[in-house]
Amino acid sequence: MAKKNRVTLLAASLLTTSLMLSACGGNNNAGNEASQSADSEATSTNTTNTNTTATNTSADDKVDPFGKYDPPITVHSVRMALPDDRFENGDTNENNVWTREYESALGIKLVYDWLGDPSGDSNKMDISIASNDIPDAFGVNTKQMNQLVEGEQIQDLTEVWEKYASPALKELGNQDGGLALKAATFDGKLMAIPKFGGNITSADILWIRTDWLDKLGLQPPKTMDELLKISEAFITKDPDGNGKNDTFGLAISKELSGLTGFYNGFHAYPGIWVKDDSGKLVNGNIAPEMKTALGKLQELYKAGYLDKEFAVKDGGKVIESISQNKVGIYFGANWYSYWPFNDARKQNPGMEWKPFPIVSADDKPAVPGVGFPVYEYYVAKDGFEHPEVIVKMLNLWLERAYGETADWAKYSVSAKGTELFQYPIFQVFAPNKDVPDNYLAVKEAVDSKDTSKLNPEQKSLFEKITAFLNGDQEQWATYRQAGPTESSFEVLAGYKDTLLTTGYLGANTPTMVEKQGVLDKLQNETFTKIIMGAAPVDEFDKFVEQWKKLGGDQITTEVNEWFSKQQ
Amino acid sequence: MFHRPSFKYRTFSVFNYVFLIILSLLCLAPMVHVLAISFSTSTAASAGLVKLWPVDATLASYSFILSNSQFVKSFLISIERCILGVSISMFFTILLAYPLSKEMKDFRFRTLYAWYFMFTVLFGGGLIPWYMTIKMLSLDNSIWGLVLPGAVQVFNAVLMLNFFRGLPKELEESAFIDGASHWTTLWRILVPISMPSIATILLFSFVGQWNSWFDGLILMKSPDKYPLATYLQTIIIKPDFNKISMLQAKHMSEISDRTTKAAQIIVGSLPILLVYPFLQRFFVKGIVVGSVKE
Repeated sequence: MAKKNRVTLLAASLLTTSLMLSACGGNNNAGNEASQSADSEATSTNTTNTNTTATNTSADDKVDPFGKYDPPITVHSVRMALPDDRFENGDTNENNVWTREYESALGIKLVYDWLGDPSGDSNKMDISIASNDIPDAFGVNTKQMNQLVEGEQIQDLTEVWEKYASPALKELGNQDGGLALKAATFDGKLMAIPKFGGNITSADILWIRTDWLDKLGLQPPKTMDELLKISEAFITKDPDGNGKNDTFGLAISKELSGLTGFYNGFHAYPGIWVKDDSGKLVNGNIAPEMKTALGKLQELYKAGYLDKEFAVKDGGKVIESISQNKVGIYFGANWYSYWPFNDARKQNPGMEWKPFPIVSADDKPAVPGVGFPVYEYYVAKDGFEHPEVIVKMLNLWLERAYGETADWAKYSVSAKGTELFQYPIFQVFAPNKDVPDNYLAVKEAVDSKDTSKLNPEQKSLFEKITAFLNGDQEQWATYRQAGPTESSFEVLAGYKDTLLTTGYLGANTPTMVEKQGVLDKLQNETFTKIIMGAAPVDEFDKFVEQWKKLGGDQITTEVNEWFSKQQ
Repeated sequence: MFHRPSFKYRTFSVFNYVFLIILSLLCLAPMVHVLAISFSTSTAASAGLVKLWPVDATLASYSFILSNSQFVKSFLISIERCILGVSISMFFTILLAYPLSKEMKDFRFRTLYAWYFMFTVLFGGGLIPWYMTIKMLSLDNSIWGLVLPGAVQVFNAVLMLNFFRGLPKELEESAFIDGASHWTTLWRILVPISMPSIATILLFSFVGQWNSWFDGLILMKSPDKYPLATYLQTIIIKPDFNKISMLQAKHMSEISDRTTKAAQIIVGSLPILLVYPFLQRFFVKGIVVGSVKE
């Protein structure tokens, strides 16, 4: 009897332990607790120097965006640590050229309460937020920003932005028509400064092995049909000349990533929210155009033009196939020239990839669809006395990296190639920086040989590009990305006026948080089945119905509620 | 005496051995694969050419990781954590198991105490309260934060107390008759004959300390204080292929580091592999047989 009891007890304890473990794993708990416990009090900053009556408080309207605190103030923050190999001359995460600049130019002593996992895990931040153990000013993702706003843990930055933002910073914030600022605005209050950035650089590029094209005597594609013919030739005509049918045209992986450009060619926009005829936002994954695109993929699979085993190969495996000289067509990012192509080229002499615009399946031009470019927001703790330090540090970043005092080797990329621009804790990039600004400036300079108008970043690009033109193969990746012709920036510049940005800029809605995983899984399974011919194309209609029922309709309503509020 | 095993038995044995050998090979294959990658050149590894034997064998990855100060630092932290954690945990587990193994008449509040400890197995505070407690005790960012919170493993104590109960009572009684106190009886009589169960718990505890990574990630304030498991976690988890940025991509192009990762995994699992053979000899049964005449 006693023994039996013991066994039951043991079993019970084991079960409970496993339950507890699984409960601890989820971040959602952390989130809920955050909103409950957070508003308790705003622990006043014992860290900031309360004696400071700095230059900025004296005059109400006229403040100096670059004003120096005297005596200096201490600002607590946190960040993801950069690995040691990103530093030179004994610099560290805590003490580097940028932290010293903050101190000498602005009188801000930056202290990191902790440095997070360099791989970017957000667990530590989630726990800090949930236990209200947050620093003075720091960067968070969209979900965390929402939590902080709900928990009233951060403060309104509207006034700070108006007063302290330098003209350069303000101009940059308006380049996207104020979209990013809108995304950080809650009930008319600017609760965070978005990390501005461009989304044109997330548009898909069509990369093709041009050495194979030349070998088979083919022209670059103008339409989807031509592209598929090339894909066929890459499979059947042995472009690598090893006498075996072991090459693929279009590469796809089990995540079905790397197909966005293909879908866009059919005017389908997966993963983003598109305005329909009635002015409402609809999810691109369930649009009828998607069905057409899937039908085409099914045909290709049946004809043997896609990897028979794609359903078990992840993105990493596809990259391996590229290194193994087996892939000829790849939809993807503009920087693929750096990775994976540059590696693959080193292993396969003669390999050449060139970027092309995505192609359309009909007479309407293909339009690339892109998501929202802002994924990080800078916030200041409720009760922190100097919320303006965020804006001031951003002013300084723009000034030292792109302004009149810019010194590329001192603040951005050192002579040894160390990327100093990764050090600033707060940082923004002009949405137009890469394309069209850098692209056009460098192109013009290459034509005219006049570098006087280039900023330091552009000058560095210019030097690499001229080196490539003079035969330096080391600069191949840079040239293919940013060169004047046959580069992905050239392709992107061509997209500039047509680009379709997602209509929804907010964070995940409650139903998204709850259901997105299920919906994604359903979608991936259905699409994979359709492509492999295990289900007819009409299965797509059933998928749409299920998608709506399983929370998709709810999500669409939430998204449109947000949308109507933003109008 | 030497009668031949039946045909049925022999067939069974053959299939049984074949099956078990295949099973163990299947379990070994991934380890061997990682071992092979760790000895290969990175070009071969990133092209996926390495199967079970190194291609262009080289020790480059090993010399790289041994010169990588972070790896060495984390390795030492893990060793320190294991030594501290295992000894503290063993001490408290034994101390807890001994009184709880007594009967009600010897230890009146036994049930009360037993439930007090069982409660912590059944209900946990959750991650945030756990974190806040440790922070308020100022144990965060120190090795003690990794060692002390898990010092008393109730599950291990239950194993231990059951073993104590299985021991002949007469041993203890004779010790008492000779004038030994509880303390002496526990450490001089019970512990030495409980080696099989102590070895088991030691192993559990060691593997637990060596492998646990989440607490290091949450409690340490900077990556150079991570224990090895946390450090390995941060470098080995693959970035989501859809979400990597250009900066990460550039970094990957600079070091195609599959071989380095493999070498770190191998070196990281060495201590665990080494511990097993040393504890093996304690896994012997019947150590108390013959100690009592009945």
